[in-house]
Amino acid sequence: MKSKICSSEYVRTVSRGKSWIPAFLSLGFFLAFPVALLLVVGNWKAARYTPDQLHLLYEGLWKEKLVFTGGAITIVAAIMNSINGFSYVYSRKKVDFYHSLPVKRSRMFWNRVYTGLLYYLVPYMIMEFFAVCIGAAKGFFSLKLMELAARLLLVHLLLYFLFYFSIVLVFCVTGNFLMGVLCLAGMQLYGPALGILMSFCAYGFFDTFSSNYPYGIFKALEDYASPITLTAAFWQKYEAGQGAALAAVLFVLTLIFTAVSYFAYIHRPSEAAGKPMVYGKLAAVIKFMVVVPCGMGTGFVFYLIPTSHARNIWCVFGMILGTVLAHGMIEALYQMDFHAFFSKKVQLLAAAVLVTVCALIYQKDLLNFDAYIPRQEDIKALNLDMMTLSGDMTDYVKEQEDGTFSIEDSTSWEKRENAFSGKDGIGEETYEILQKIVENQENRKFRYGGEQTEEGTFRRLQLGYQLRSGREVKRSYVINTEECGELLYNLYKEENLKNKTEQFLASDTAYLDNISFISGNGRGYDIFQDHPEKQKKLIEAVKTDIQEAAPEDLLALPFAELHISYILPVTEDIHSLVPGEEKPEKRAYGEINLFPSYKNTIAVLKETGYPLSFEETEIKKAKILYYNESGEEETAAEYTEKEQLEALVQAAAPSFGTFAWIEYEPDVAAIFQTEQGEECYAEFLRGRIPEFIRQESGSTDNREGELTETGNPERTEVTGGVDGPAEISVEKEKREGADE
Amino acid sequence: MIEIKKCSKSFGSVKAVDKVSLEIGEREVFGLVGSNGAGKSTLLRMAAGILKPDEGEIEIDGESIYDNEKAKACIFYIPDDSYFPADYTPRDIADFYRCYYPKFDVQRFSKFLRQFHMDDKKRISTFSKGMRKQLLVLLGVSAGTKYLLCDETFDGLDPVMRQGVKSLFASEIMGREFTPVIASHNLRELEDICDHVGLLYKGGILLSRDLEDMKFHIHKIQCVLKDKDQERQLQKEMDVLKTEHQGSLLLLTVRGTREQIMEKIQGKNPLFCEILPLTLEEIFISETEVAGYEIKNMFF
Repeated sequence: MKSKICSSEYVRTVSRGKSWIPAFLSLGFFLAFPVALLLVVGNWKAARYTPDQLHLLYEGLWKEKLVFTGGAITIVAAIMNSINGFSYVYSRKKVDFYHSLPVKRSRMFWNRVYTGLLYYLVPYMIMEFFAVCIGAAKGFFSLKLMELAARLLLVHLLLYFLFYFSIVLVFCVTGNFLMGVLCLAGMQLYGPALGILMSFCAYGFFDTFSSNYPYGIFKALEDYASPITLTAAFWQKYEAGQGAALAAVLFVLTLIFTAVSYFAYIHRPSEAAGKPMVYGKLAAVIKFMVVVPCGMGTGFVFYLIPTSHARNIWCVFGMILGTVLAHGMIEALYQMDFHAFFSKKVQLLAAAVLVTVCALIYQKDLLNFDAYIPRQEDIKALNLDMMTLSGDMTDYVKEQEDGTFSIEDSTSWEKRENAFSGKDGIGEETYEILQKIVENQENRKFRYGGEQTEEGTFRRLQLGYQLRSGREVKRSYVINTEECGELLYNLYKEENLKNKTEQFLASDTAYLDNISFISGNGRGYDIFQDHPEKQKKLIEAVKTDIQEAAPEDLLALPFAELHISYILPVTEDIHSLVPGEEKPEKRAYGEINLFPSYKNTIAVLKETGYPLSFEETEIKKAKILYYNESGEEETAAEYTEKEQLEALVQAAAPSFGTFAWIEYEPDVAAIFQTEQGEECYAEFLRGRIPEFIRQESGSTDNREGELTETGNPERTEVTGGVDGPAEISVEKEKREGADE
Repeated sequence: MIEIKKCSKSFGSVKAVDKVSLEIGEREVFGLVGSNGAGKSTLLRMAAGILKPDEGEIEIDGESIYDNEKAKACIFYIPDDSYFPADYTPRDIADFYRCYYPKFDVQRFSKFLRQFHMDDKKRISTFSKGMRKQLLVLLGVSAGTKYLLCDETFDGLDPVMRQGVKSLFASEIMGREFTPVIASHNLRELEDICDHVGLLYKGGILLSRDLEDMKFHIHKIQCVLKDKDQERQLQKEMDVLKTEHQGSLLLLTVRGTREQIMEKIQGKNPLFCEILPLTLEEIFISETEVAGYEIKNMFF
């Protein structure tokens, strides 16, 4: 008998009336493999791809699109087979029928798994084989493709078991369809929903929480704490050829689901059919898992709605409401009776206590979230959003072993590989300034950054600590100009901050595409387009200057800026294949501030004949703009006298950027008009504003110049240059906070 | 032999079976009687290995039944509310059981189907409730198991079919080791088929007796004696369970064999004497009243 229930005869017998399942799955896999393959391959015909590109695209098809189409049908198969195999446990009649049969529960469990697997695997393998044959008929056949097909089967098998056993587990711990559906939805959504709730609460209560860059438990819950999100994360990684770690996680999770569902099945009392929950203790745990976040979430919603001081009272009201409602509804579901809404008061009280504890953790920061800084010896490296600190938009460029380059834009600062570090973790002084920043956060609550006040300018700095343990911690600090300067100083002195620019400039000048010189007056010129040797000379000069520059040199006021672009060879990517292009290329872009200490660079740039700094620009007229508290232009005064203009130029900061380590004068700016009639916008350095402006800024009624109402200035674009076409763009609008 | 040893089973706060001990012998038809909610179905489901007792144990031929393939292979359970997989025909379900019961006799099953005028190619879902029960009995008999547990199986069977099933059981008992256990709340239904009867009340076993033994040792006497002294003497000499008077007619329900009773009555020279057989219901009424229970509370 033991062998009989695994025999083909048995499978045939129990499959009577169920042949629609493999038939349906056959149709699904037919669409997912042969049809999908034919549709995609057919689309390639119109484009003129090279044979190598076609081969790459075909491999990509097996690594990406078929993973998704086949995966979708696999999940459907897992749902259908698990329902077919185990939904009987919800019916007393069926339970009596099957559990009276002379077969052990364990055997019955595996037998159902085996039958379901056959329903899935047979259509899958047939249709995948068809797809391989179709590919071969179209000229795509290699051992690597066979390996990809085999790997695809394994990946889908893993997904099948993950979803199959997760649903079987739900069947084994619940007693009716309503609870089954709710538990299944909970299993898929609970982790991400909890992660989002925790992030929202952290955003609301913790001043240093970096909401844009989730990490640790927040990220883990949102991305990996449910079979469906874990699968989505795995698919993304698998496409990129990096799915091994997540595949291992999926495998372990599948094993856990298998073991737990097996034990839940063999210990499931037959009389549980029809009851909402099978295991009382599990039901209590699930209730707490739902009630506590519901109480917290409702409290948080009520905390957000009012803006008055009464929000804490509303928060408490929301917590009580959410806890009572969630507890009551779950009890009503558990007991299938609305009269049970207020039953189990002790559990309700315990849930309320837990909600209170959670609320206090957030409200009073009991876990010391805002004041936390990892120990210096634990920090391996730092990730910094350099856009906040220096407006740096230089791409992260790294040369690969095969001679191609990896290019990531400046928003990739948070990646582990783009972190800054010294020789062995971070240095003493860097750590000290970080400690100082953390200590100062207590006095800077609810500043959103980019705020210019009389006390100075405050910015939000996104920062990540890479710990030696492999963990990462992300924070968002409000820092002032002085702290910014100190941090940068130490990053130059103790860490490898220079490396980013050096790495960018390390690319062979043969790949150089263009160099634009942005003068201090904001005007831009493409330089040395027809002189590659001069371009190379300039790049070498910049590299030398950077290398020789002391940290304090790099914190001076930049006088100009270079915009450099390279066109670099990159690895072929199926998402950006250009039909017929043999060697794919990608543009890498960098912005390099030029400091007064860059003697070699200045010497080369002088050959262009362009004014290098603002001071070298001939100014005809200056219009001073005054802004009100809300940042709107209020009034303007014009100056034309030479002495006044010289004083204004001396006080003006270059217009191509706002540098976080430089303090600017708030609420006042200038538009300078050159002799050629071009206009350029500038801000003033703090403390260097001329006396006559200082007096006027105090009272707009007592200004010497002519006061006029202003509108929005226009953008001016000029083409032309010394040795070739150039582009001049003068941006006259008031610059917003660089970090916003 | 099925041995039920101090078995208890609760569903939440409801104690369905409370420390029941019972022995079901071989080659006998065991009737399990009791009112609705007495615990008959629960006891049978435990005996079939579907439910695990909270306390106690149930053994089939010395082996615990729960999750035991070998012990369960000796039992075929016919539930009150029958289930068959969707779209199955009698032939399909026979094939299905054949995979689980090695002794399942398909030929015999086909023969039974013909005898009972059932179409083996017709979907079971189109069968009436009575036909489904018939089918289950036929499957149970064809499975070749030693024990057949029938929960309210005779409900819904017409008299002809009921008689047919009884005959089938009788022939099976004659032909092989076969012990049907029939749970019912209808005493009259079990009277002419059971050899042994167990009475369940509020989850506990009230009594378990051999039916013939009960019938053989309990009798109802109608007699007219010459005077009241003789009546009193007779009642003292015999194990009287119940006494009634209808005018001068004395009605006694007494324990003892027919011969023992007759001998004692003849000794009193009655004017009229007749010994009447008792129905199963009357025996139960007498026995349970003696045990201190009011039979009306149990069945009505």
